[in-house]
Amino acid sequence: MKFRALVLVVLAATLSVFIAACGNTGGGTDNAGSQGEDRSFAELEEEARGTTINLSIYGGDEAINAYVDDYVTPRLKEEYGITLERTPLTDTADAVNKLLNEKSAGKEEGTIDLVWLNGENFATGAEADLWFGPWAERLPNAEYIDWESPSINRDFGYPVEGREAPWGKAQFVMIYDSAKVEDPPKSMDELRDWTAENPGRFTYPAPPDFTGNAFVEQALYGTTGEVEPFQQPFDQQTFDEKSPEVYEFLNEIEPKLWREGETYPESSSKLDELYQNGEVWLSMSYNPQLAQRQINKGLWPESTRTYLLDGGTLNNTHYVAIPFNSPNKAGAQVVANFLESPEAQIAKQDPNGWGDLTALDVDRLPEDVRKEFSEPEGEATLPADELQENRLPEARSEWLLELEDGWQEKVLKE
Amino acid sequence: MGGRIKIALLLAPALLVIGVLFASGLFAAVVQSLGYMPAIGQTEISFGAYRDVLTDGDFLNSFLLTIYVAGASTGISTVLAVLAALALRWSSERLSAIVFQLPITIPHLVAAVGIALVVSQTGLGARFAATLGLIGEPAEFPALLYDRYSVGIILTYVWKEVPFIALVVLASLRGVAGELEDVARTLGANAWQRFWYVVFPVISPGIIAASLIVFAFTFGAFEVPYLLGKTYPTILPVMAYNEYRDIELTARPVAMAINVLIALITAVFAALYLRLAKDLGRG
Repeated sequence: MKFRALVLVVLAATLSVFIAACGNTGGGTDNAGSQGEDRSFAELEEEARGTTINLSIYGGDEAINAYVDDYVTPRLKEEYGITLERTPLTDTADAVNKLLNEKSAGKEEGTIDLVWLNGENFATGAEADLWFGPWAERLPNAEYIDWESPSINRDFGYPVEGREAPWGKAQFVMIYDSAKVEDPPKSMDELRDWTAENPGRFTYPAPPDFTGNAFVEQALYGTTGEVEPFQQPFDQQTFDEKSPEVYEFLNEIEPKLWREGETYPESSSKLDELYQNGEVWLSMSYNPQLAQRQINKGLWPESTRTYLLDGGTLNNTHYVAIPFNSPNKAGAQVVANFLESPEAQIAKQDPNGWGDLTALDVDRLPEDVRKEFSEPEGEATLPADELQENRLPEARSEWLLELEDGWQEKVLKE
Repeated sequence: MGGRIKIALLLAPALLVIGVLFASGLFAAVVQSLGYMPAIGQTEISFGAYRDVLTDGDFLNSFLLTIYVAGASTGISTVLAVLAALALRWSSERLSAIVFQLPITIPHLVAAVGIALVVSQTGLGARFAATLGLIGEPAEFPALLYDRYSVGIILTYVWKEVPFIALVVLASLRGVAGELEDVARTLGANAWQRFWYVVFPVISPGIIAASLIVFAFTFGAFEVPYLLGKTYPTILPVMAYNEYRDIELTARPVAMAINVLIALITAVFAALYLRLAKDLGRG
């Protein structure tokens, strides 16, 4: 805890020095990150033709990789003459770190044109002025997006301000095997009882894994019974008051987890593997269509079902952003616009492919296109309106960072 | 004189690469560990990161785990390698080449995944045990991965390093040792005496050098513990990596401080070990 406080002090000091430094030199250097786009889209298209775009994107999901490689890449080539190169990342933070290094080295021409991200990665980059913009609200397809909605114009509470374009939405869901589990636990209290009755049959990915973070956050909402305080700017006092409950709960169930909580799966794909092997009977995902896809592929038992927690589950929007030193900002915007097009969004929603929820506001689309965004199919998937009605907002990034650190200190190490 | 220049010229390219890549990397690590990062406006030199690391209980836990993993891997590998080399010393070159050289060509990463497939609770080993009726549930198979005793990591290292040490030992065994042993035999030495007084002194420099390399490698290696290790504590290189990829830039000096400490600790161990070897040689 002491170490943590020290880090915060150093961070604050660093930032103030940094801001002061920017103030001193602000007039002299033209920073692309603060200027934004002023060319027309036709000009951008013209400029982008025949160029190459590097898309840095989390590479751990085969369905996403396949969507990019088999759907997006050939169409960009055909329609816009753009060659898309996909750089797989194990963690999006790696790309942010790379950009931070380049910023510090004064490298004005980078290698990344477009990054897939949200949450703390966007916020950290924005603090260090890593993102080009504003540009995202000027795209032709931006008219299908509800920029007034806080779930779009705020990314985990951080103002987007046109520096990233919405690509899709995710909602946290729980997964269970109905052949082994009759009545899955729908609240943290029920989960406590369930793990006691079924020792070794539940676990969650270790934060800072994305899904692991989400589970701990969901546990925070569940144990405190509150959502609203965590939508406000971070407040240490509130955190110190509220957070012990969640850690107490997680420590209480720990001995009843897989491998008695001595270790945790390091990623959500590792958890999925445990579920697939029948070692655990519950899983979780940020993709509401994952269960159906895995069944269709024959990887998971037919009896797999998706369910929601009482009181709702987390949902968030994911985006693409253009780094300050992207060598091809025009091309990056053309690609982002294509990703937001109704046809690309419809293909993205295919449950046998990625199965990602659309970022578009379907009511803004022409009548004939609207029908294409049909109900998801399959017994393991929940209806769209059930998901819609049970949405909870994510806590702001600062809360999540504290929550993760606290998990390391109070749950993992104790 | 001409000979010396020739040696210098021949060494220059290798030294240049080592100098530029290794030394400058180490230099950058030291600089960043002292908190010097102009990019985020940090230009003051401080030992804060070292203080944080060294007073943090996590570092000690990781350090002890790293010593344990590196020590156990090196110890077990060395003993098995010497035995294997002695067993195969009279065999054909061809056989020992297959036995020892094949595993050396396989990357650590592949070896780690292979071991994981065999010893995980739903792996080949567990399935085999279930077929024999030894276990009913996957969880009944002993947990050898991500476990407290780092069994999976040590197994991988032993599998990879035994052939390496054995090859070195075998080379010295096939040299002068055989002839010296024959001499000892004609003088009436028994098998144990021949090994302890004749063979062992000949092969011990090779054993020491090879096991030192293995220790230094396993102490600083990242990929196997990253794949097969427990979430906490982790070995030092994994701890440094976790700090490095922390989204908060202020964690960077801490990551670099850990890296510098890894380098220092390895150097100290190497020095102590070589000293010990020298004393042994004299004794």
